[in-house]
Amino acid sequence: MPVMIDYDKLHGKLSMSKLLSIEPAPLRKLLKAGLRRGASPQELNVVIVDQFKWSPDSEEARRLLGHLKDIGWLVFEQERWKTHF
Amino acid sequence: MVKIVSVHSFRGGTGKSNLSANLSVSLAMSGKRVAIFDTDLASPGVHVLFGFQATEKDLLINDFLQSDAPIKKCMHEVTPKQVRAAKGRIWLAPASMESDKIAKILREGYQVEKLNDAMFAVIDELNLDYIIVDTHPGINEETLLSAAISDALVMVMRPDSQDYLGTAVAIEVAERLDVPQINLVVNKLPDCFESSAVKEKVKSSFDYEPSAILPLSSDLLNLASGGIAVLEFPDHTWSEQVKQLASILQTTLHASDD
Repeated sequence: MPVMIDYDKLHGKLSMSKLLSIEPAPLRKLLKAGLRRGASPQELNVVIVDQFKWSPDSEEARRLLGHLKDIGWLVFEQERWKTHF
Repeated sequence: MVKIVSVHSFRGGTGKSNLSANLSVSLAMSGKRVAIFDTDLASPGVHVLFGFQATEKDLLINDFLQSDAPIKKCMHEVTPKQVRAAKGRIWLAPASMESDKIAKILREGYQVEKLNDAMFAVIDELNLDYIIVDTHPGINEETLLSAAISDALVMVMRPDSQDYLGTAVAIEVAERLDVPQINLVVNKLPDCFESSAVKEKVKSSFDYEPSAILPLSSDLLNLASGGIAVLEFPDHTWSEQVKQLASILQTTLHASDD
């Protein structure tokens, strides 16, 4: 079953309570991967492949990461993707 | 690799801070380096168990969260002499007991990711093996973050109907956040309760076997947070159970390290 992302719901400031309520589950896992020390691009690719069943170079993957970066939920700093609240 | 263990309860008064302190000492007694973060900013207490009294010039976790004080300067060593003899070390990031600072942090809040960054900043500085997070009871932004970054969530409950209901909610949240490991602890078990019956009830209620069942103890009540039970009463059932919990955590958390 392909993972469907409702981009209309992905906006505003991220909070832990928002993260908790996010669907689908792969998106929660992606944002959780950006906690602690953050995720290297390779680690994030593993989440994309394992959870979304997408190729990291696919249009879907690029669109999702680009959108999360645009709305400030994921930031790339010191070579790692970090979840930002 | 460092492991983060959050000690949480849905309701207050479960003995969470007492367990956090005793669990930290039990881990450190096996030569480990442990940092405790008191994130119960509304009602801090773990510092009392270690006899830590902040002076005016001491920096506390509130100063890091709200005023950007360097987190390393907010860490205070509280290693008891028995732990030092066992080659363990304990640091505490205490929360302020000053009413104006408590009111300020409740009123203004703070960026929760600072808590995440604080922990990972001290891991390397102090060469830590474990971080124990003494959380605020219930569910809020900070406790959700603590759960999400934890390797294990220790849920503390009393054998009380409200605690059973609240613990079920907290477990549901932890599972949704994919917390890798949940350990249930029943604390303050009265004499009149049969431990094996409580164990069965917990297992049937949550699908988790309790990792420890701690009796309601007059010895602990007499200690009145004036010391660390596993050091003061090492052979007491309460202490034995806490040490068993520490042993379970040490084994299970490092099972996948190799």
